[in-house]
Amino acid sequence: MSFALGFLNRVYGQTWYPGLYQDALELFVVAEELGFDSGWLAQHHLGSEGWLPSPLILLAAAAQRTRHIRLGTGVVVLPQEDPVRLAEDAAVLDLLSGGRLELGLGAGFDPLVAEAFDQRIEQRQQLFDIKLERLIQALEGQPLTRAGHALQPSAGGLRRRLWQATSRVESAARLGNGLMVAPALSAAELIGRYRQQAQVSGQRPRVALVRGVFPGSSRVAVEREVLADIRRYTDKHRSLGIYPLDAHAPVDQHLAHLGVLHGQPEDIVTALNEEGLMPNLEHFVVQVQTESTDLGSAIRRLELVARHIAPELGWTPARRV
Amino acid sequence: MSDKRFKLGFLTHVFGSDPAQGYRDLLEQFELAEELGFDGGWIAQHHLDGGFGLLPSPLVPLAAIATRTRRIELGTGVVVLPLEHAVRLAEDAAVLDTLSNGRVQLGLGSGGANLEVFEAFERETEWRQDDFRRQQQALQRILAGESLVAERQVTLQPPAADLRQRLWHSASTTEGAAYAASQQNGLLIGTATHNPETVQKPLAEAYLSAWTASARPPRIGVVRAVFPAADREQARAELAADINRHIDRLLREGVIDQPQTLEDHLFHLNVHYGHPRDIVRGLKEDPAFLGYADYFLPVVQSETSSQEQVLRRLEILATEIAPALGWQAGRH
Repeated sequence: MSFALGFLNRVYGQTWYPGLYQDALELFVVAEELGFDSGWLAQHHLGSEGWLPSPLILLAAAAQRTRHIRLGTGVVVLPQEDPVRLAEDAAVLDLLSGGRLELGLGAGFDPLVAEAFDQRIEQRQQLFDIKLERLIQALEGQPLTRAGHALQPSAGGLRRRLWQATSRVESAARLGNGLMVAPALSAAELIGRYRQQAQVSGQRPRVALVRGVFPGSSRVAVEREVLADIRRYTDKHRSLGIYPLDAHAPVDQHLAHLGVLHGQPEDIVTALNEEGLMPNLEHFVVQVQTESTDLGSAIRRLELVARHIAPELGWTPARRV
Repeated sequence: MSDKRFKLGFLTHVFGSDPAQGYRDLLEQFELAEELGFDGGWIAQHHLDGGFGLLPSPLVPLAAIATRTRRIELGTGVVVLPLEHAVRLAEDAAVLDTLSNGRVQLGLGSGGANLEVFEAFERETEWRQDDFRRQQQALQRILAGESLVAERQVTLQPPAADLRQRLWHSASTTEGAAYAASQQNGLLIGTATHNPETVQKPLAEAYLSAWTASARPPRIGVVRAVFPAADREQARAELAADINRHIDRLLREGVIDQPQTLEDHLFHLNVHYGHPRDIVRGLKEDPAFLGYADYFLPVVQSETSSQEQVLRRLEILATEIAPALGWQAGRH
């Protein structure tokens, strides 16, 4: 069975510059030409890591530049959204793109961002649950006022295209939502628990495995390109209390913890095969950029993934390219 | 005053029976408008079903339009500000402004036409004016790059300081109009069916006399329903079904006791219709139009207008009506 192949762009950059969004649009065009099935944009508020606070706005532009590729959010931080406003924006984008939206949702991690939205980071799971329930109401066309007003435009099949990035996998499975999995070490366990609950609940499981995949001429060459960025990333997450490894831990331990795969394409294929997660996977999503990756390098890595990595893992592009 | 130059835009509520078709039509309207030399296109926001327009998210299609056009300004007329989160709106507008190379004009309103949906967003209609001012002031601070967290630099990304200069208020009281001036924002009049002589002109005057900023001139956008056709009879025929629906709604809501003639309703709705010559004459006589308008925002779509009619009306506006009123394509 073939999986769908996607790419995730967190819209990183050492500094913000106006062309950043045009570069992001260019990646969608290139990825579609390479046969990628989906492209996903992350949401980051107020410059916390990534530079894009409004993935649905940029995806509306991407929808005009592409025809087939599915347009995902990976993820929208739900506690900081009004769920009805989000449902409206998502439903409009879905219609504008011919039903191509995949709506990934998360709870957020940055306490400063929560504070800027007059929230506390400790509330995030509770807010996520409340808002997800309301979002689903809206997408299902249920009345949102006592007089019976419902979402317009109606959201069509978008309710079946929600995804959650969460460790609370049973809840996602019960709701019939897809599971986006990034943390490498616990991925197998999370996916197993999710599939089990989906079966119990009579829901069709959808798992998207998200991986940092950095192919190049050799492991050492790739490390030269990405290690400084990865160190900055882990330092920040450690300072927020959401990264357990010590700064002095060996590089390979950091990379394993983050699920980063790097080196020649065949090394990456071997590593993924050994891990054993690929069979039965519905969606494999690669992140090929770190903070200082330029557009040219990102394109080269997407090419290597589409031509030399994914096909070896059993991927066949849905459309001949 | 009469040779005052104005920009030409159009305002749409995105009507129709099929939202997907309505959005496709919208993109085509902007593309044609840009070809015709229009300076801007403005989109209204309407929440939930059973109401007026089909589009709750103007910034989303404007992002699509930004990739298909190069020059035309992208306006909202208006966003219902009390139902928005100021940070999220600032973010969406800033991303759109970046994508479009600074083409956003952000019109804001307090939601007078959307009262029945406030509860869906957990907002109280009686607080909407307070909510409007609180949110609008927050929006301005955020756009200007003020930190959102005390003693830290947590600011809007992408930066959009210049967008602060492109905010507009829709106002229905002279106090609200003067307030827009005090905030150095533009004023939109004619967004509701206010009488031009007794309501709109005093709004414009209150705004202009309250304007004190010397660095920048005040700016007024005037919305008018404009339905050009071969003659008045054809225009009336094209509008009859929608006006009759409108009359039914007014009767149902108790706004009027008995139906008046079609002509009377068109007059009360400030509708300019007929041969372009008739429309030019009517607009020249309009007491709140020439001499006030920095941005002319005709509405050319009624609820059952066909796309063909809308495109033809846009063309007549840009080639016949606006030039006769002193507009020159590409001046701005």
